[in-house]
Amino acid sequence: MTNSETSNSEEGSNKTLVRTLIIIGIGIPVLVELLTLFNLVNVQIFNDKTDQVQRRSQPDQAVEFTEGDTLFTKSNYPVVISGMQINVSAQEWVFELEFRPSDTTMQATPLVKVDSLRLKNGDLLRRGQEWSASQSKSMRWTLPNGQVPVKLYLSGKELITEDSVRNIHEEVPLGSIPVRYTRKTQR
Amino acid sequence: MTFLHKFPKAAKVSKANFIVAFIALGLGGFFGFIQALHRTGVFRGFFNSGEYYTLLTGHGVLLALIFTTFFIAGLFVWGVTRSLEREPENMTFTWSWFWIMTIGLVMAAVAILGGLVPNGSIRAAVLYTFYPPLQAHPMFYIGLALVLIGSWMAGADWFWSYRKWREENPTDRIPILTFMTLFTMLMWYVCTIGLAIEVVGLLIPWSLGWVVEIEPLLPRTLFWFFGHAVVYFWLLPAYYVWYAILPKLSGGRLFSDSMTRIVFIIFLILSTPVGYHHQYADAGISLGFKFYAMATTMLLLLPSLMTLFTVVASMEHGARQRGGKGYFAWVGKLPWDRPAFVGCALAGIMFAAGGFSGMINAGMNVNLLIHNTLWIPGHFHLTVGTAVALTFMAISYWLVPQLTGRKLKFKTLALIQPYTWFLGMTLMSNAMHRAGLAGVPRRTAEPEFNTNAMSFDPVFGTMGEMKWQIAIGGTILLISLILFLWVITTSWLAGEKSDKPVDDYIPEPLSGVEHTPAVLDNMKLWFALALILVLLAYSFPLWEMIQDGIFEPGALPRPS
Repeated sequence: MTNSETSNSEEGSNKTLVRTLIIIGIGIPVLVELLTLFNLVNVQIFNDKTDQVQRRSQPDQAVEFTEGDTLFTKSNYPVVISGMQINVSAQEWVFELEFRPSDTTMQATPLVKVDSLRLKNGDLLRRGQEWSASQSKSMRWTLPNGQVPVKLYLSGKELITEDSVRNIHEEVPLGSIPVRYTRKTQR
Repeated sequence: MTFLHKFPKAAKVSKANFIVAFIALGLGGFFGFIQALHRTGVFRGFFNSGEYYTLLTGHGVLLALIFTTFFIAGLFVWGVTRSLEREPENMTFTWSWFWIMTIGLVMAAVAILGGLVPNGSIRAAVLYTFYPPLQAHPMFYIGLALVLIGSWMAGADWFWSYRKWREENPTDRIPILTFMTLFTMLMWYVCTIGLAIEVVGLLIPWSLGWVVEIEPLLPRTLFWFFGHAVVYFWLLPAYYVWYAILPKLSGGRLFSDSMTRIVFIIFLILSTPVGYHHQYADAGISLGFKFYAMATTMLLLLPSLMTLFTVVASMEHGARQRGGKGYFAWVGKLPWDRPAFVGCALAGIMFAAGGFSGMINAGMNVNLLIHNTLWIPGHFHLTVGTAVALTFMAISYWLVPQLTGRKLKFKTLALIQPYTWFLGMTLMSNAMHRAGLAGVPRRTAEPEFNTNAMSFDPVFGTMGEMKWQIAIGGTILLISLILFLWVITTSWLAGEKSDKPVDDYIPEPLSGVEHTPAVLDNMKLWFALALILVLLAYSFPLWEMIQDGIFEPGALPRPS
């Protein structure tokens, strides 16, 4: 093979490489941006506006409980989530939950219990904590790093008459939980 | 003969700066990759979510402050030395600013990385913006203060060279490379006043415990005094490359010398008074001041559009010299097989896209739609993450051979690198913008859009698709970064030695300095005007804050 043939061959393969790079390196980005533009325009101009309004006016999930919400509202001992957050330090990932009695709590000493927590990854954390609904209660769980509770399983005993009790169970889907980073270190 | 042989002392200083810059780029870029996987929830096994903020701080500080500052210093040493044709005046002074910056960098980096040491007491997980109430170890602030002082000294070094050159050439116009360097540094001096007051006057005493309480509004305002202009401190060196070198790489010449100088003057004047547009959601600043910031921000579009015109015109000229014809067909004649050209050209295209999303950020009303959402990182990964970073990487393929006297190795890998960066960044940034429109917050380790606890309503597509787009984009970016570092390292250490490793000739502009009005070189005039505009922009709001009790703990965080 002569020098000029080698040079032509190298030039040819270089051109193929450049064409491939332009198709992948510039073609795909241009396609992605054009699709984005098309979809944005399509949604804004051509989608049924009534559907949009209805869809956006509905909450994403039927009920999600966050700080300040009241649980067991139909019973005689409603309790309020007075604090809910995840505290993160370099070593720990801790879920903290606080309850206080509602202003409308009627019974004197009903017992309420957090039976378990369902985590984002589907795991169930079974470490029940019980307290009297007429008092405030703080509780904490050490979670696997990065996990967020998505549901609480609670139970309580409601006095119907002096000698009969009804057990109540409630599943509480949790809303967004603030994650706080602290500089605290374990000594 | 190349730069190394003509100016060996300056080449050594440039190389030292580039080494630090590339180490910071590699480390900061790797942190970014980890963040992309962690934040999207694709892989969360590297570090926990507490440590995420340490990595986020490392990513921001190492790339946005360290990589940029050191690369810019190396670039400006090359440019000033070359255009004035003189080595630095005093090498002891030159090396002293380099070492002060390096010591500062090491202190800041140790403070940040200390967050990864179990039970360590040295931490600086304060993010790139590092204002209160987040507090870092004093070493972090002192380190950054040293980097700042070093950069001021570097600027003084270039002014010193210019002054000596002026004594010998009293009637000559300032060479364009030196002009761009000096005006960039003038802008840097103006905007770093705010940072110096914040770090030295507030943050260091606070972190040392000398001051117990601090009102966040004042340091935030002082930070943003600097925080937006610093964007132009990164961008102007990219412009420097696009104006001075890209036309040559295209095969042509710079379109207009005077247009170049006007653009740098406008940036000097307008860069700093715009900082309040980062504080549209801050209650402590009156609406009128924010409106003023919006107006000046929009005015900054002017020099960017002038740059678009000038650079594209210069590239078109180059393409036509290479046989290009037609209204658009000339684009095909550009050297799309040269990594230095490809990187700079793609960086310029990406900057245009970043400019469009920047207009949304700058608008007082529409800003609220995307404020503190993932849109914002999506935006600045287009500007600093590509327009600046890709330009710096690309021009390294042309500069490093001049500084080392060695030819570039692995040219095919070097060619692949800018294309992959462009692809990866488009995927990542596009998804970040769309996630921002759906309200996904920034600055959090938690992939909220991945949980049952919170759901977002994307304009179109799904949150899961955006998550994967960000993760794939981040991975492609890491591959591109590895390619860059591999090519540069091997070329630096084992490239073929040559007297002329690249064609480093830079031709004169089409419309040369003879057509440029002399008043454009009047540095005192433009510097004074910049200071007056800053005074107008900041004196009234700062006075208002003092009246509202900014120095009285417990004061209401709003105008009275």
